[in-house]
Amino acid sequence: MSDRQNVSPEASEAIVDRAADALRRETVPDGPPAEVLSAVVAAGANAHQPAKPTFRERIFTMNRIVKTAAAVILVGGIAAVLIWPFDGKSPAGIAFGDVKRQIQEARAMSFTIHMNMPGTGKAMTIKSHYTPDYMRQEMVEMGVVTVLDFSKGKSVTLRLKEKVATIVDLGNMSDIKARMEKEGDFLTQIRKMLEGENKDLGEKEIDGQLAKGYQVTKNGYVMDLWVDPETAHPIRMEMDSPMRKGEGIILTDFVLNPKLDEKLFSLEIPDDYDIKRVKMDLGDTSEEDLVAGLRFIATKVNDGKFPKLQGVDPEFIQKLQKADLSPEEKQQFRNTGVRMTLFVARTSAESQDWKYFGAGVELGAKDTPIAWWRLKGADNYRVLYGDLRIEDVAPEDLPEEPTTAPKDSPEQPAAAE
Amino acid sequence: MTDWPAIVGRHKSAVWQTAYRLLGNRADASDCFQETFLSALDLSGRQRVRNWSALLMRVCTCRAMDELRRRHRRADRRDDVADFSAVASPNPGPGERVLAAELSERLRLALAALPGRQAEVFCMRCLNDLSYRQIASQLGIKTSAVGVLLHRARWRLRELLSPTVATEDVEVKP
Repeated sequence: MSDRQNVSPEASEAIVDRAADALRRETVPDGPPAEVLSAVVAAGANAHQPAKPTFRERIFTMNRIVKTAAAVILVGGIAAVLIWPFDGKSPAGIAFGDVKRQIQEARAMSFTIHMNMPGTGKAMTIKSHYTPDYMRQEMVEMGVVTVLDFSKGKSVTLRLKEKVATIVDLGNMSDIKARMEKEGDFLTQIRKMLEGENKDLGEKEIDGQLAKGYQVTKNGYVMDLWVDPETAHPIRMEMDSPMRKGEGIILTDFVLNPKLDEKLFSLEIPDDYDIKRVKMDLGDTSEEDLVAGLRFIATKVNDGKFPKLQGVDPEFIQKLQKADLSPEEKQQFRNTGVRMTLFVARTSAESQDWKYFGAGVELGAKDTPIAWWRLKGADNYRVLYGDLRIEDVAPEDLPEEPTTAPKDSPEQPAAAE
Repeated sequence: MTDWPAIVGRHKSAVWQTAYRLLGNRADASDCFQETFLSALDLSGRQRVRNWSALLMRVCTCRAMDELRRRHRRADRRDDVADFSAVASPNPGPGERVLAAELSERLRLALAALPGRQAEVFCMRCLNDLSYRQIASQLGIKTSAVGVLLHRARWRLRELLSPTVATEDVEVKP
């Protein structure tokens, strides 16, 4: 018998009233924003007058539908009809919605990631191709190419200088892919980011090309997105968040729905490469995997402190290279690291309130919460402390959320997504 | 002559509140706010507006519903369909604010799935507290038709919102 059949008509009727009541009582922030209000007032002042030179400025902040309506109001019907088809590619012709739609609807995307390695200032360039079935990343300076084939559940990493190929069998990849698509991969994160609040940054020239900018803010992240003002095609994304504090990531060279040669995603290994095979056990992950992964990283790699949990962190990669792990420890790191990441991906997707604030906290800090989550349907939170014990905690007894990250160890708000 | 700044000043809060409540974020609420006033301004150039409050609230509700439906369609395209049973926990515990926020979001999703008139009538009645007579007047329909539309809207909303009702609302007696 379904749940619904168990519900009395009175109870089911009550949910509608409760939902309406909840919506009515929801806190509404002060608004509208001043620029929106002044645009609306200005539109009224000019509503029945001939077009003025400032018309474009006034409609600049409006969305696509309103622009059309506003053009009719402000310029007059005939003028708008005459001008619009020819002037449709003017900088005022796109809105953030156009930009968002293009990126969110792209099934595949290529772009280049530029970042600096913290501490060294060395540039790092990652050419990336994402499709529903494959991912390819070329770490240019490091001479490393990784291809991931979701359907085969395998990845191949080629170290070009050393001529070493590492084949990783990831087992049940469809499950991982589904989770990654829903919550985790970089492309998905960008798409989600675009759901944040946006503000107009005006126009500027980038590499000789006129670009229109938007600043998008979501969950503490800030992303500046520069697009072609005629086509809304992305030109440049600049991400600078508390996570990177001045060590921004820049994405360029965007191609949406690129036609990519199948060879780019080939798992074939050149004849003259040494081959290493890694098989990973990616069965059901649990809290123990999170604890094991964090403990391993803190004790063996990260100077007794907990790491960041998401994103490419060159600083961590450097520490890993210097850690001088034995072959057994390297294998252990791969297994625990991947299983921990999978647990985090699953838990953050299945929880109402997953948060991680452990970056930089010392292992053993028994009074410091480093993560918590509450699985859907659970009464209580699971709280992980710095000594890696996990406790059941009622929502009203949750410890205070750390508000500032320890020095030199920026917080990772992405993990709270 | 229409005193536009005064009209904006008098009704901005109500329109903003309605837009934000229905859409749940500043960006969409700002767009909706602008569209509402500009549409009303456009209309006022073509015909006399007798009741600015009613007009603005109706336009705002319609624009917000349009956006909710767009949001719903986008979610469909991404195969990320509204899963009402997944939105809320069957047993969310004592966090009243969390529960209220979940309910609000579920109602937004559910409203997007209603036929336009039904959603409009529901919002006017249950969110804006308009009387049947006021709604009928604004929509140009009979009072009895308002009742029918509201009944259908509530019935459909019950269906959409009820999957998690069982454990939330059914009283268990020892």
